[in-house]
Amino acid sequence: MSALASLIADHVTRRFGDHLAVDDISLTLEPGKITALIGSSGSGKTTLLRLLAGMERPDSGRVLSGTTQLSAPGTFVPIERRKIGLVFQDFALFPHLNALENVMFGLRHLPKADRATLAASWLDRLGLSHRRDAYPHHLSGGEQQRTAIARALAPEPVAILLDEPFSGLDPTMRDQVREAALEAVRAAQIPALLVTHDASEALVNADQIAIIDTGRILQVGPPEDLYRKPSSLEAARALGPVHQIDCDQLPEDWKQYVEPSAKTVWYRPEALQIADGDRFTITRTRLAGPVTELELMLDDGCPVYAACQLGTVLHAGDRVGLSLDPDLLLVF
Amino acid sequence: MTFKIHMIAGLSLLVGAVAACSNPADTPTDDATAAPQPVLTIYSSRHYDSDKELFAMFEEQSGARLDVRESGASQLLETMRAEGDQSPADVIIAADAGSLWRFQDAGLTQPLSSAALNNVVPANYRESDGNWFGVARRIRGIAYDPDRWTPEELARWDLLASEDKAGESCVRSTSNIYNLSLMSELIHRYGNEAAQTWATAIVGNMARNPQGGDTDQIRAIAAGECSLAIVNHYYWIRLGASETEADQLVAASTSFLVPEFVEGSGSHVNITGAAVTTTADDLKLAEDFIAFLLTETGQSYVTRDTKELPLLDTTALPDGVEKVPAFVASDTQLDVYGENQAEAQRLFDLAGWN
Amino acid sequence: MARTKPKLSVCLTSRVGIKLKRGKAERSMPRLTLSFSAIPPLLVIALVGLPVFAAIFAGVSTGDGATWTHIFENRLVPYTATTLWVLFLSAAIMIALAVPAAWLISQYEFPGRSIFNWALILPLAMPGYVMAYAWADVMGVAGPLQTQLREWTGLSARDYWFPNLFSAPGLAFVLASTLFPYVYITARAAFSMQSLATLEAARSLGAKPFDLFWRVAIPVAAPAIIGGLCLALMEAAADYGAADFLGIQTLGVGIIRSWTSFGEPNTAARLALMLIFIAGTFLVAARIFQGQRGTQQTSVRWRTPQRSDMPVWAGISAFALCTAFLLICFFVPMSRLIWLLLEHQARAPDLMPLIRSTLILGAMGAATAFVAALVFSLATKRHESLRLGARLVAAAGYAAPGAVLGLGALYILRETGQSLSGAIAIGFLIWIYVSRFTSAGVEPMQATLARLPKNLDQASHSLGVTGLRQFWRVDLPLIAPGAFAAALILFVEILKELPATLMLRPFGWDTLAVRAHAYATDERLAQATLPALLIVLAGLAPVLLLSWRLSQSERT
Repeated sequence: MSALASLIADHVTRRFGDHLAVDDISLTLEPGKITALIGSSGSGKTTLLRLLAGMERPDSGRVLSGTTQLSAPGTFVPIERRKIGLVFQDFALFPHLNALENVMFGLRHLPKADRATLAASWLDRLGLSHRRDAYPHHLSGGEQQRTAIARALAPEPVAILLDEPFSGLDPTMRDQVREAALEAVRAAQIPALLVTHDASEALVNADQIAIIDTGRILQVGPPEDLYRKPSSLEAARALGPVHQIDCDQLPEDWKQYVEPSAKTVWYRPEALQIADGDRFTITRTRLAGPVTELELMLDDGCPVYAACQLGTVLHAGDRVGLSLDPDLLLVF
Repeated sequence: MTFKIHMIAGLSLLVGAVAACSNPADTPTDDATAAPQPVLTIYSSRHYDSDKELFAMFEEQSGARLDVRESGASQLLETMRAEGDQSPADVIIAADAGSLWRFQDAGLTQPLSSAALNNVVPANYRESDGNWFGVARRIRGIAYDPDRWTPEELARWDLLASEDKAGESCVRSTSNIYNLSLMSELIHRYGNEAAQTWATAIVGNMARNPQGGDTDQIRAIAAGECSLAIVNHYYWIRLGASETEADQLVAASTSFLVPEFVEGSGSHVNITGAAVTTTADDLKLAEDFIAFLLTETGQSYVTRDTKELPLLDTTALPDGVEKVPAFVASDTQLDVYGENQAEAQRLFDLAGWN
Repeated sequence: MARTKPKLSVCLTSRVGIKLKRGKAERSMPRLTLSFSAIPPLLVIALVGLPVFAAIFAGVSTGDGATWTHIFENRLVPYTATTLWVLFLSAAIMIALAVPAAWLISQYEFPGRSIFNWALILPLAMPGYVMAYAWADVMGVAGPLQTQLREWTGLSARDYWFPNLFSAPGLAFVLASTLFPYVYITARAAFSMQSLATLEAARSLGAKPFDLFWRVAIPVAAPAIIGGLCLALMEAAADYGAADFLGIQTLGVGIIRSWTSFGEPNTAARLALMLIFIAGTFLVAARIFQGQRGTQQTSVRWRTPQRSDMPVWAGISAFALCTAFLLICFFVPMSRLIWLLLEHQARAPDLMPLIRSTLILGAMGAATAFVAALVFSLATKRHESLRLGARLVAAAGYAAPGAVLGLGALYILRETGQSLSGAIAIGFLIWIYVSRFTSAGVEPMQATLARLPKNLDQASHSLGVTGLRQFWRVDLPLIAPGAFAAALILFVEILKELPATLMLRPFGWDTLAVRAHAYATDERLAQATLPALLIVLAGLAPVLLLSWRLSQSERT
């Protein structure tokens, strides 16, 4: 199994009793690229990860690393022989070993002297060299997760699978840790799967996004494609809020952007931006960091939603005009 | 919620049991209107079923109620010491003269001057001032394989120490008082050094480390692990009297004899005895009880199941006991057994006799 | 912060033991850091500790007897060395029995697993001395094994070598077979509580099944296992019945001997001090070992790992292993006893009063010790210094042999000028049970408490629930699983107890243990089997309940 091989799921299915957790999924994880697997709870993303890792056996289909079969009818390579790194949401560090020893755990195949050196260099890379001797219960969440990543990467695995690794972290440090971690992952040049339910995390960090819903892959592709051209409403919703408007309620000058036969059209809130005019009345404003979310009403009572960067402060009751970016209209 | 219910139930059990604990062994007396029933409290170091029948018989005969505490002699002694003047004990029964002496030495017994008892019990089986009276005899002798030894080769205790007995003997541990009493008499007769030498030689002759009780030693002879053992007579008798065929075979394949110290010296004899305590309320009742133990009926109950020898040769022997060879008791005062007990244990320790 | 009302805390303490004085309604002085809530644990500490200290004090304060010099010079070192050797062997055997079994049962599926799960706790119902009698009978020169051997080979008893039960390894084996369930229970709980994620992470790093066991599960479970081992070893150290029967000169035997043969109970008390010192060393060693290492998993998800399948050959081996353990530690001795019973058609008259006394004393003792353990576990949460004192006192009581505690009780009896009859005797006996066994009740409760999140107290306080209300509504329900286990363990231990019961029971309150001992010392083993079997039977029900309960709690 070479480090430059893709990790491939080929028409895998997994059933638990009556419940079809993974339904004929095929997905290729290319080396050097981070694939984000995004879906809501119960969508099957964790099951898919477990199938790839070897924690579950598929009912049908295969898992391959390059051309080597890992799971197939008649073949099953157990976890301990797959050399696939795992990182969990709750870190799963060994409580009886300090950080260095944790990282050294998977390095048994190396001579003793080299183990400690290699482990130390990995901790260094992730900015933890001063915490080498600390036990997990003395480390902060971010430190623990970085240790877990070092531990998974140190044995030079053929792939790495991360199961919501950053959701257990403090928001203030989450970005930092995530950046350091994913940088190390990228540098390893192996296929990487990042399971997440956080759309912005996927959009920012992934090279490829796969959207999963009720056991099926809805769409796979680069983030921009998926964001701007989702193949279905569910796929669109997976990556951000989507609002709906009936076509006959559209203002006249917007109807031109829409197919005459379409009944309903969907849009991302940032499709609407403040412009000149006063056709819309603001009913609510909500500050969300750099962007303000607005709820507005057209004269005839049709509600619309916008997400704008505002120059001036606006209040409920103000009358404004909105412009529509037709690229952010979604039609299915 | 269920846990709390369980806990409350459990604690109610506690409270209820405490309330109910006012002696469930109380048998309601019929004569509630008559004079209060006399109570005789016995502290006994024996624990035989036949004793229960003995006590029941006396209760019937005397109309008194018997409260019996059965425990080890040392525990009883310590209990009485702790209870002091409050102790309810009236009579002590102990299965070894050494134990009786310890009670006397601790000041827990009182001299009973009873002409009746003095008549029945020979002088060498009672304490001169009446602090205790023997009620049964027990002999420590030698069980042996008759195919291997003749009685002459085992006729004296010192013969056991000779070299031809190497690897042939089985004995039980010295934590048991029977061995200690025997040793006490040896110390009395021969002094510390000789007694220790004897004990060391015995240890050297052991076929195996001391383990189990006297019965186990006899069984070991039958199994061939050793050819002689120091045992109390009644264990050998009981094997013969057992309903189990295996036991009877064991008894049949072994013989028993009672050695002397030197020719004509007499043999080591021990007693089960009774004493009246300093805290006894009703001396007459206590005396009656001891006298009862010495009657024909009493003796038969005392010795029937235990297979001890009755105090007097003239009394009927329990079944099977007739197999014990005739012997003459040594003239050593039984007090000696208690006086030398601590020294006996010390010498055993030094001799390596566990 | 709400204060507990003095009346209520006194109400609690008056439940604890019969001999307790009413708590005084002290005004809490500003400079004292202890509040009213410290009264119950202080009183219980006094209750549990008094008999031990009475005995030790009496032993130390009276002058040296001639015996003490003799023992000190000639016997103390051999007694101690033998005791340590037996304990070491016992520990080795217990670990060899309990840990692999617990691992297999908690991690894998194999034929019979669900039965072994609870069945391996059964030996707990057997007293050590009964196990000794049974195995001695089986292994003895006149017993079935050797007799058969002689018949087959035609050799005489002196010609062949046969494992000798009457030896230090033999004693270690006997003690280990009745006490290993303690280690099994704690090991199984520890293994079941592992984070699934940790194990999977280990596997992803290349750990094979044995590696998982050796490098991950054992180190994390080690503190818990050591805890169970300490409990078992203290029990083994205090044993007298089995050691005496098998002729091994341990401290326990020496203690009794210095009393019965030398007539010096004070020397006995001094030797007991040695035992307590050894037990204290165990406890300290266990704490040091726990030291730096973390035991709390970083994982928040306490998922019980799913059990994995095994290849057929492995499954059969696991089955065979567990069956062998069960046979050796329970079924062989039990069936031997039953065989003896039937073969000799032994009749033991009048067992009903014995059964009643045994059950009542067991229940009363267990209930009282339970409350004491509860107070120790819960009320010392707020007072760290008290907690340490409580555990030390409880450990001293547990390590002291029953006979020594009985001695202590007698000294107290003398001071109070009472006699040992009726309610007073029961009171003292229950008191000694509490002193002796509270530790066994505290351990399961502490284990449960350790698993709880640390800030439950704060959460409760923030909701205005403090003091006694908190005790009733929060602490008690949370400690329920451990408390249930504690109650059952206490009951079984008291059922089996012999020396203190022998000394302190009131008239007409003989227990099954007392009767079995009487027959056995009279060398009527056949008669002893019936009460002995009844002890085991009486203990089986709570043991099974305990086992069922434990496996229930593991499933959550």
